Amino acid sequence: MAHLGERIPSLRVQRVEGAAVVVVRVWLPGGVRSESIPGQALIAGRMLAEGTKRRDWRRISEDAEAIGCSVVTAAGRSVQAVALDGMTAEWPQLLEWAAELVYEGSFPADRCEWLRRQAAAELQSLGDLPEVRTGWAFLEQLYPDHPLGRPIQGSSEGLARLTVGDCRSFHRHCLAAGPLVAVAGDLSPDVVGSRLESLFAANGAKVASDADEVREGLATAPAAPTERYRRIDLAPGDQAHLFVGGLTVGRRHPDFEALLLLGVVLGSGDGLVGRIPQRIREEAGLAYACDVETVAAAGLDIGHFVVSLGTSVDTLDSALVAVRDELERIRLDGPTESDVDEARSYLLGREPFRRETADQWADLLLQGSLLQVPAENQRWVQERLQHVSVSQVREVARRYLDPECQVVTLGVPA
Amino acid sequence: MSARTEPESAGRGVTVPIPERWLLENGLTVLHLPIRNTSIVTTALCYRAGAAKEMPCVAGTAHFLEHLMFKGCAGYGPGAIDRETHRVGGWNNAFTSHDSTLYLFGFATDHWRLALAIEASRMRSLDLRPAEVAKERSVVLEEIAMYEDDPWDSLELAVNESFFGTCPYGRSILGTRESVRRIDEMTLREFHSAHYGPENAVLAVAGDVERAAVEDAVDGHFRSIPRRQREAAPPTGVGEQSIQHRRIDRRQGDTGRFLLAMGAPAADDPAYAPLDVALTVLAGGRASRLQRRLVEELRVCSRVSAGLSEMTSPASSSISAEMMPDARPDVVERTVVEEIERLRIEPPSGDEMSRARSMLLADWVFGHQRIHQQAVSAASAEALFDPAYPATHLRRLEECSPEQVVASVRAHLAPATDSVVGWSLPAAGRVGAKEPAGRVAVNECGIESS
Repeated sequence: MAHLGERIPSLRVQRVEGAAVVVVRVWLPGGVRSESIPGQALIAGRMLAEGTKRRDWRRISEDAEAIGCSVVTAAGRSVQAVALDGMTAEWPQLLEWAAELVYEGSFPADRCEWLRRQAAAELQSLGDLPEVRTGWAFLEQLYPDHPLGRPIQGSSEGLARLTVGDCRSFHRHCLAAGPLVAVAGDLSPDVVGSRLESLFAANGAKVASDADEVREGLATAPAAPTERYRRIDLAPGDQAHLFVGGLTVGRRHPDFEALLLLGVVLGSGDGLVGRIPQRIREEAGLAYACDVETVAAAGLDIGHFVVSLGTSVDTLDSALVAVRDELERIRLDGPTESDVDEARSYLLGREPFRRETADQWADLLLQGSLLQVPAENQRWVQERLQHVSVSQVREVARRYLDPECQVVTLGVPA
Repeated sequence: MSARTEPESAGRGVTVPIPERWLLENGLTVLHLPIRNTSIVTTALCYRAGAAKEMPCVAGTAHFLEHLMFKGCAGYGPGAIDRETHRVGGWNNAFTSHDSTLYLFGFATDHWRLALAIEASRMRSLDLRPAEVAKERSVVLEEIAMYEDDPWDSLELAVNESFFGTCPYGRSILGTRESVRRIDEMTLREFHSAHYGPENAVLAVAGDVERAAVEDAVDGHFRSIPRRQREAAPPTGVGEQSIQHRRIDRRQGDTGRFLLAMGAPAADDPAYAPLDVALTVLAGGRASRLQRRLVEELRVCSRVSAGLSEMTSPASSSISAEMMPDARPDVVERTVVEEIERLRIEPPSGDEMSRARSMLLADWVFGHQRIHQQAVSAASAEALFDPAYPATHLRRLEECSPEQVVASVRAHLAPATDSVVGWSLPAAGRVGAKEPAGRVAVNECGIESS
């Protein structure tokens, strides 16, 4: 008999030897990309732990904490998420609870009201962080008039007009696409699989392809950015913040792996290796942290490349010049063969570290289910990386680092 | 010398792996933690030297040195350690605390020996080039600026400074701008020379590697490193807190933030585990007392949490909360104090005890899933406490009684007398607080100084 993942690709179980833990993850295709009111996805996701037909929010938290289980329900860019982490022995209970939260939400109105206020307070709190405030402005420029151009919490205006009915209908819509479930831990896949199937398969977990239309159709592609340069005022402080970036590709695009390699050459790998951190931090001492990504947020939707850093106001211009120089240098000259070989070696070598824990496995399984790529399969990932040529990496550098398509956001303290 | 201990049970099916341990003639302690179901090896090298061992005028030396440990030593010029690590898909990192400095590498099984080659080279000597030191100083100054711009980090630094007074735990690990500018090559060299000897270090190797291979590699790289000639002077003032009730009132951001610092025993003190339980009863999870009152009933905070420092000497515990926009600080503060006072008198219920123990045990297990976390835990326990420290702590959590929790609260949580109350409030004074009693003048940094 075929194993569970073959019969019902949206239900996955992975044995992870070692720690006596189990993680249960349920994703419902949805997330910010498909919300109609800013903040709707997050509040709808959080509402799942606020009450069910069987229990109120107090009982849900008390029952979970009594056995050392954490329950988090939330939303991301592309999914609604239910996450339960606990000790291995508790796996039957965690599965039961996950199904209850997903299928039996009661959406109490008073809890919705409180969650809306909490999310608005979170927005305010996050806005106190200068790098977050600058990052929000950057995303707004990069994804103009698009759900991905705003914080997951939405906006204070959106939160203020959100009703419990909006949350309930959003959840129903997401549930229609069929839940994707992953369970990982030091447990028997056969035993867990049977229980998982009885809880979820009968309740609408479908083969992944059934849900394709729902997933693909939820968001429109972002328009090309029109506002190329923005400077925002920050509260008084010591550091200015710089974001430079542009749109790249989604996870299933054929350029994805070449962009990953390009990212490592530029500085997305571990430590201070990479052209941009070398130039910014190691050569010039301009910043403590200098982050580089080429496929940030790449999933069902188009991701982006981004270089971000915090530096003194006096050195902001130098930092911007250095970042743009390095981007232009690699665009025009391309990475060397040795650059690409080293980047490839790094990415191949890091794969075991992406599969150390139960939650890492569960996330990989779910990404695989959502994006329909075998992301959890180390050999598949490594083969894809092996097949990228130096000329492909040079080509993606030329295509995606075009300065005409970049946006620059500066956050400057008053 | 060699010792091997079977994994210790911490109850509820959780076992704590106890590493094999041996000592080289030069004093280096080596731990081997075999983990078979992996293709990873990580190393953790812990020096018993952190910010508490610095002279106050050059505060930040331990952390500055940690940065420079990646900037050059025999066989590895500037940038080479990162490049070599990266080339084979490995990673490295380092952390400075008040009690120790810890260096980490993670590699696939066939490359782990590189970690030992690098660690041995930089234990022997560092190549502190003035140009590299100058560049790294700029980086550290940016790091300080980054922390100061973060409302939580800057509040925590100010509260710690006030809470610990002259005790080294009150100094920022990063130092101040002034002290970092004072640190020169000589200061760094002296710190390295005084503290970075094999007899002051513990090396843990964890993962898919046999003991014989570890012994062979450790002997090859470390056996010839001599002990330091000079004994490092012990730090002064650690554990010498003279706490009074103080207040700090800062203005930063649009959100109100509250941080109450109180006492805590050293992490290996028997009263530490009961205090851990007490803080979880108070503020760990949605069912905790403060979460219920401040977030769910009064709805004056969006979140509440508790912290407990894990130090070799008596240190601090904390309660922190983030306020809702329309909330009054005095309500938040009074409620926190009330709940602490209640726990001084009224033992937690059986359900609360059980919940707190379950949560703490699960936190520990989840926090030790990764191989490097196990290596760090083993190296830190050996360097700062004793090898059985993690198992002892978990056993104490499991065994502690409600009465011990109350006793620990009485001994360490005294918000009205031995504490620092820190507030970071919106500059506009939008919140409707009455003036906190006893507030004193705020200096130009926004920090109360007396």
